[in-house]
Amino acid sequence: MVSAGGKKDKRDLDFDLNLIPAIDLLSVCISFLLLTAVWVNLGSVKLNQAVGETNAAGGVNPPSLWIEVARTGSLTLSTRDLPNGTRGIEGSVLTASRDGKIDRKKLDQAIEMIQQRIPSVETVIVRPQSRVPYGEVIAVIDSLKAAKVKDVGIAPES
Amino acid sequence: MANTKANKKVDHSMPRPASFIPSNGPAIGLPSPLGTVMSGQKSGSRRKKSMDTPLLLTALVDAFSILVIFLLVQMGSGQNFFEANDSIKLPQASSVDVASPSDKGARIANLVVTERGYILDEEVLNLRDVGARLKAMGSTAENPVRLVIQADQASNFDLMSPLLSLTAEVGISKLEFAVEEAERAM
Repeated sequence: MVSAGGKKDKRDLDFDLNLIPAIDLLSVCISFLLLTAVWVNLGSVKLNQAVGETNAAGGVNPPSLWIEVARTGSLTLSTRDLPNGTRGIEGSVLTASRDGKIDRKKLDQAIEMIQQRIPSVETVIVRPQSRVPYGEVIAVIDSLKAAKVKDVGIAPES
Repeated sequence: MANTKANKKVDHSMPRPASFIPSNGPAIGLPSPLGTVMSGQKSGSRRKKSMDTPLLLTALVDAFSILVIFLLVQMGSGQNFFEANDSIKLPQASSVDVASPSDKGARIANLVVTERGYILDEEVLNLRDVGARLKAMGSTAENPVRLVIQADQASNFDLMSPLLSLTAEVGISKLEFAVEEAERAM
């Protein structure tokens, strides 16, 4: 190569960057991160516990919806302590899906309908009957949480 | 000039590199029979094509860097606040509660409910001992205890009923049921 002046050859400033160590380092980083990564995200569903059906302090219970979960997968919905003149639900049954599990679609629709018809109901108590699978109870609670129900409680069968 | 080179006869007296790439350079070993076929050389009439493919290391480094950044971000956001028991399959839920400010600094009591008993902080206990332990923890407003209950999704809820009564007795009214976070199928 000849320089502009033609006196001296221009020094070659190009150099090869050795990428192999960089790739090695990145490979180690990736392997480490893949091994330590959390692939299953765990979380929790927070609940208040409701023991008993009457207010121990003698006060007025808030309007609530009670959902009884049966072993067969059917759900029985009832409203309680509604303000005077409000028409509630008494023993409305949502049948189970074909596989004997809770029909989430029906439950979602029922919750939506109750929220529209009786907006004063902000408390929902889940009451599982004996021998109900734990997963089914959580499925009901999940539907309630998804419907943005303010207070979700659980009352075990006594 | 190129034609001259291509027409040049291969000297078989010289040992040649045993590779797929035909070369006229310093020879080691025997010539590869595939060399001529792969390079598309026909009786020395066509120009020799190079089979050397340059490996694009820059693109590789870019891809690796993106992967590292993604994994680092995921690592930062996906920390579980409790450890799941390997023997149980937690139920799945899409609406998982996020930690509230009051949860920060709270002691976490990890309670696993199984058919053979209750495991509180990795110790197998009966129900009465669980009650005693929870009472000893003394959950107060200043020093709250987060009781995280883990149970198998197929287990009977009857296992949980006495525990719920017990927690109410010891003054823990807020419960947390451990779940696996899942996308909800629409």
